[in-house]
Amino acid sequence: MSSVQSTALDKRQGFLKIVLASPILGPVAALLLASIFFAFATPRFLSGDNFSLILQQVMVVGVLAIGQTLVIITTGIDLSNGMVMALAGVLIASFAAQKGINPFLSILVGILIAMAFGMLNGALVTGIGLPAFIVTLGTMNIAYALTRIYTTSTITGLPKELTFLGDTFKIGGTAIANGTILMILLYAVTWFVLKYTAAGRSVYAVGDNVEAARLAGIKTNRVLVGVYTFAGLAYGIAALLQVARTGVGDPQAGQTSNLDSITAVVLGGTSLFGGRGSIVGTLIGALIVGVFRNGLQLMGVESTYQVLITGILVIAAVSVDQLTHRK
Amino acid sequence: MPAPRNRPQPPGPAKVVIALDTATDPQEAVDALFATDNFAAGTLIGQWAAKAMAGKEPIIATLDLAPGITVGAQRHNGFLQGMGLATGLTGTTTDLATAKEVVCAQDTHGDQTEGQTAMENCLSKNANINLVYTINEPAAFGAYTALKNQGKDKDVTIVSVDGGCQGVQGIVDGKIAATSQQYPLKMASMGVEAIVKFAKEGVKPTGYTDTGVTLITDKAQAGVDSKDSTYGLANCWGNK
Repeated sequence: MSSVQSTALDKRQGFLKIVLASPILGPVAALLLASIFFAFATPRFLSGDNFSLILQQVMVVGVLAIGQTLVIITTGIDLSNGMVMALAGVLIASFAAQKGINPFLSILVGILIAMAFGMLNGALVTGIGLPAFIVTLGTMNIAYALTRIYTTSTITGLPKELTFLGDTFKIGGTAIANGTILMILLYAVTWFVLKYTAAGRSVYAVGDNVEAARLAGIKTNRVLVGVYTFAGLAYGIAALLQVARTGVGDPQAGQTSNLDSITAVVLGGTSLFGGRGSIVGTLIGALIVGVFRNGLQLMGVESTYQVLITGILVIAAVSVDQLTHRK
Repeated sequence: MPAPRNRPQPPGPAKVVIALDTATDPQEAVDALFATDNFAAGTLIGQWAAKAMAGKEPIIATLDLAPGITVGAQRHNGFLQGMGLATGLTGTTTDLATAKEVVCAQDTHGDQTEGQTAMENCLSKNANINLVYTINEPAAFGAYTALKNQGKDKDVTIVSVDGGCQGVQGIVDGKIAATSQQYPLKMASMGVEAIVKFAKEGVKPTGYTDTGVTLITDKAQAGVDSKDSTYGLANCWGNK
């Protein structure tokens, strides 16, 4: 009898341990607490339409942050993603709306260009051994300049294939954007790959200890180039989402997206020291930013205070990470 | 060998410093300023909007620039004063005035995506917003997209400031109701002319030269001077 009880207790403690050790516990708790707070603070927060809006508002940064998460897990950082997205977005819009190229071909070319930038980042990080910060600072400026050289005007009159992801459909009276479904699918696929494939596990291994990973037979350079190229793919898809959401090709897009995506990754509990992190956490992190922006605006809090609170949240998130994983 | 004492010395390098577009703080830090009066630009769209609302109670969202920037405060405060919702404001503060009719105010950094997000959240806050002030046309287009997605683009009036060619096209397309057009090219040409005059004749430019602002709208209101979008397109700056 007592042994049965103690086994149950052990099980319960084991469960508690798993929950407490789970990297997304903090982010999930923060998101829930924030949502409960805003639900009480403003009656307009708790509605399907409002949540759908928040999802639409975070979908671009959310998809950028998928790439950013992988890069950060490998102890890297990517400052170029917003500018690469702007370049790809402008090219997709321009090819389809101005050059008469088939919209799907335009999208494909735009995504390939974003992937080429990712691959270039990866090649410079591994080939010459440059720090990711410097490499992506360089490619950020290159992508920015190329966008400006191509056009400084907003591109309008897009075909419907380019704005489809911004369109909505109704579930029980709530309008859901196609793009948010795509974002969630991308998260699901990335989650599966990271957790259940050899390639995904080797991303963590490289991030945890690149030398140990190499000695274990992992082709670390190939993994890193693969991570940056995959990140480029995410940025290309984010470009399409950005174009679809705004309905234009905007050369001004993405100016703060690099830092916004890093914010989402950090709030999601991924460690900047590499080797540890959760892709689901990043989605939660992006949602935390969106929920705070929306909730504070509904409460009538000035924009500056919204920025202030985001800053405090980031510091809190990295502090929690550091304190809970102190060796 | 020392220079002969009585040789005539060349005059020291004569200097003139001018500012274009945005005032230095203090303005006297430069000899002359060539800029648009952003407060007047805001006042114009405010006066127009007051007439255009025609007795309807205004429920306003303001999509502003960013904290502490004179241009953003001048346009915003000019708009409120033009609407008759505030009095005694001038273009010298960086603080945004407010009024009870303004139900939502949000920074957009003049960015289209941020403008769209801000407008969406403002509509969640108050679905009855019927007048939107925007810091510039990209923010206005973002607001328009948000309104259109919710089927409200026909019921809400958007006003803006800048009058670049893409912005005036927004008037033609019916997305923006009125905008105050500015003339950055004129700022540049008047500035260069002033320097040429100084170099040739030694006449130093001084003080503030207003390079002018014109209200562009296709829905002219009695008592508010304006030109139509055809004039706006003929005089706009930037790529058409």
